[in-house]
Amino acid sequence: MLLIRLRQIVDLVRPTARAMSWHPPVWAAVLALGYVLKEAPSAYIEYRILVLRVAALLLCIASAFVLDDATEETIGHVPTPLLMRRGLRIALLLPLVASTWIGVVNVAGDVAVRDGGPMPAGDLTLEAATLLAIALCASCVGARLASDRVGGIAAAPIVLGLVAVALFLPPDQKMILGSPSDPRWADAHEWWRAALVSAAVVFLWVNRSPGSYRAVARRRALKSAPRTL
Amino acid sequence: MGASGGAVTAVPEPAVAEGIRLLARTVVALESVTVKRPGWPVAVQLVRREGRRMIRHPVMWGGALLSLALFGLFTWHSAPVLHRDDASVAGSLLPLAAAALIVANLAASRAARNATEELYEATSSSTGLRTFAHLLALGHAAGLAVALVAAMFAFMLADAPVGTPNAAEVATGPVVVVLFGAVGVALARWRPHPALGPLAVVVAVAVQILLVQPIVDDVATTSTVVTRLPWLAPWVPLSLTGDVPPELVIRPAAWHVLYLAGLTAVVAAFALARSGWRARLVPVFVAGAVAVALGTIGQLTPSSGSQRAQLASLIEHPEDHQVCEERRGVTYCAYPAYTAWIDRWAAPIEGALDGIPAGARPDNIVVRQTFGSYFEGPVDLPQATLRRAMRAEHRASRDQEPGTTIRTGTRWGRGRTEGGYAIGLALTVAMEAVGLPSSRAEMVPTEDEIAEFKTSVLPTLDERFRAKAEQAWRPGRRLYSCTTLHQARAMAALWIAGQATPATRATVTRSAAESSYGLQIYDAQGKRYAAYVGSFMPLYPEVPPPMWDRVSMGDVEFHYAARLLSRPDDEVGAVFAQRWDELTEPTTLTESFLDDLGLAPHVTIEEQIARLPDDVELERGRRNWTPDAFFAQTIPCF
Repeated sequence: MLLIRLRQIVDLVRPTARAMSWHPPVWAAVLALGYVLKEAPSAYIEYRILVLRVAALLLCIASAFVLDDATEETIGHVPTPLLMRRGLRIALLLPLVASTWIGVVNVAGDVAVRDGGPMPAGDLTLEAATLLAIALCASCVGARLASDRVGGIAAAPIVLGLVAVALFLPPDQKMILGSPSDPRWADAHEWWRAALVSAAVVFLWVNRSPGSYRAVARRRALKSAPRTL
Repeated sequence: MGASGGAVTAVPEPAVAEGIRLLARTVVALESVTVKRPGWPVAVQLVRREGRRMIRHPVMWGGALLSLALFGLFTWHSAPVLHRDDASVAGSLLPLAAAALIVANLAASRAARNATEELYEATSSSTGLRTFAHLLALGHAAGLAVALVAAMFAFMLADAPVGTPNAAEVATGPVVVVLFGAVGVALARWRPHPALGPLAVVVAVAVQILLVQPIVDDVATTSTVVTRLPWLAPWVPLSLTGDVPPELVIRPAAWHVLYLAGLTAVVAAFALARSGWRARLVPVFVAGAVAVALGTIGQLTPSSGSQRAQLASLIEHPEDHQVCEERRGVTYCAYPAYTAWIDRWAAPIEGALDGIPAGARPDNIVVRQTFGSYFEGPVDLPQATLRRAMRAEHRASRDQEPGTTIRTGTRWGRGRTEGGYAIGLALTVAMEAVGLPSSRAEMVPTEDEIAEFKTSVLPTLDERFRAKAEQAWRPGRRLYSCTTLHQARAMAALWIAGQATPATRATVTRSAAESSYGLQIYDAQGKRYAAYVGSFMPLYPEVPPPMWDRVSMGDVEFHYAARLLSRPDDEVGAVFAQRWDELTEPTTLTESFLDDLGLAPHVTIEEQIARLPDDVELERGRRNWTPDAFFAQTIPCF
């Protein structure tokens, strides 16, 4: 079975890459690099972090559109699971997103300890990864709601809304998007880690094969069926 | 070829040729007919339809809710000042503007996304007309924005606001909503892709930050804050770096609205240009560009010398501008816009006076509103004025005759925070009544006080500290700071301030509950620790009394005062009134009043350590485990 799946993946790489909407992540990568290049070098640490967070938001919102597949209904019956098809799209996307992120983090540079450094690049990468996972999850959930299975339309406003909610929390509760000088920084990143794991679980759940939930429904139906003698 | 009754029969060739000729003549005839598409009636219907769809869109509702949340964040903790909060109202609409951009983009790109552009060409509306209708439909979004603005002002009007809003500041929010919506339509027309709307929102956020964010790191001083071109951003906050009085900032709000309106016209013309109405759009584009140019020039022109001089006069000669009013022997002087706040100031002051025995109430109290001399953000005052104001304030704190001039600012609390402001005023009156220093001029001991100090206080001091204290206590020498630890008068002052109003009572009670006397227990890395964080009073008023940084009040008296608030005020007031002369003596110890007040002594720190649960560890490295040890280096107030 594994061998069949591997063969399917190999066969699907090129057509999937051709079918994917590459415009949004490419636009976002260019915008993010340009913005960080313009703003981050030589800025103070809090501002560099803010700029990197905006760059991450650009990349994540754009990535949500990569899962849009107008043929999803049409090819729903083919023996390639939804999770595999979407996973393949994400795998094809990741090199672009990861290289852009590494690029922007390097452009932003480090900060001396006396100026509040070092830059918490690892923690910021965790934030970006979590935001990406949330955006992809929102895209998968949105695909069930939006016409033509284009979930990106729903995912982008959801991600923007979540970020806005995190920003508009009262100051005493605003730790999710805090600064490294905040004593709650470590606790906040525990939260980010938990959110990443949760988003991964939700991603697996919403992308389970239609056959599996049909099986569950069938079992439920059998269980509740009245027995007649 | 034709079909009849399922059997195929041949059609004669001359009939086919005749049919083709007839079809050709019809096509020629139709081409010569000029079909005039109805314009306005269709546009009106489209505007209605698209406008309704727009304001019903869940993203718009999300934007509206976030706008209300942002407004709450800006204004929740402050009493409304309409000429300050008008800018906050405009800023609160930015989430709605972002939502308008996304929704307008989705609406205008709908036909392209669904590949129905050609289908729509068969209808009675052209692409240009549909674009025009999408732009006009933004009026619905503007209407929603105006409704939100009205709701925000209604909320503030219900809380006795002061000041008058600036119409241009108020208009900024709805204009930004329309501008962002027009950007969404233009993007949809030139590059229809659903990702562009949300990406444009993030770019707009980045541009807003880029233009407004200070670009130097030492932002805490007024002189070094540098921003790029903030007025080219959609919204400019009153200050990004902290609180500044709105009266001291000259904001070219009207020019900004003109700039935004011009920008909207240019973007709208750009959107329509895709549909080929280019010749007709030239006047719109030119008018928009002129408005943008004029608005930019107007915004970037520095304020004139006379404008700055007027502001300088506000801060240097407040008596020329303020309105004074006397109530129960207390004079209140406020800038004209703030006269309605005299009621708010009077409540804690009169409450505190009521808690002081009639013969001991301080007289000639003057409450004067001030802008202060230190600002957390840029103000439009000449540097010389700022320097003079700082010097004057320094002189006042150093040399001012002991007196009862109470200063209050341009901000007042709301709801839970009101008590923090009120207790500052009440505590000033109470401290004056019990004889605590209200200026550094009062911190120069007399011969008698030194003699008293040597006999009663000095022997109680730590040996190491005694010599230092003896050296500090010299006739004519001004002390730097002092503590009221163990002084009964500090407990009385805190109780008088606490009982002044329901808000002050709630603030003291809450603060005492949040930070109980003695050890504080906290969680860290999965363990529980106990620590004594110091003997400073855990309440820092929003309007600190004068000399607050020099007169250190301790947590011992604060917690006794908080406990007294749960007892009948009459009983507590009677005990203090009966022993008032003794109470106001610096040497009278707090403990000597506990029996009369029916208070049990605090559980000592040592006892608290002994009673700690097994799972709580004492924080290592702390040495000052008692209030006395904490204030061992501070001279008692006299």
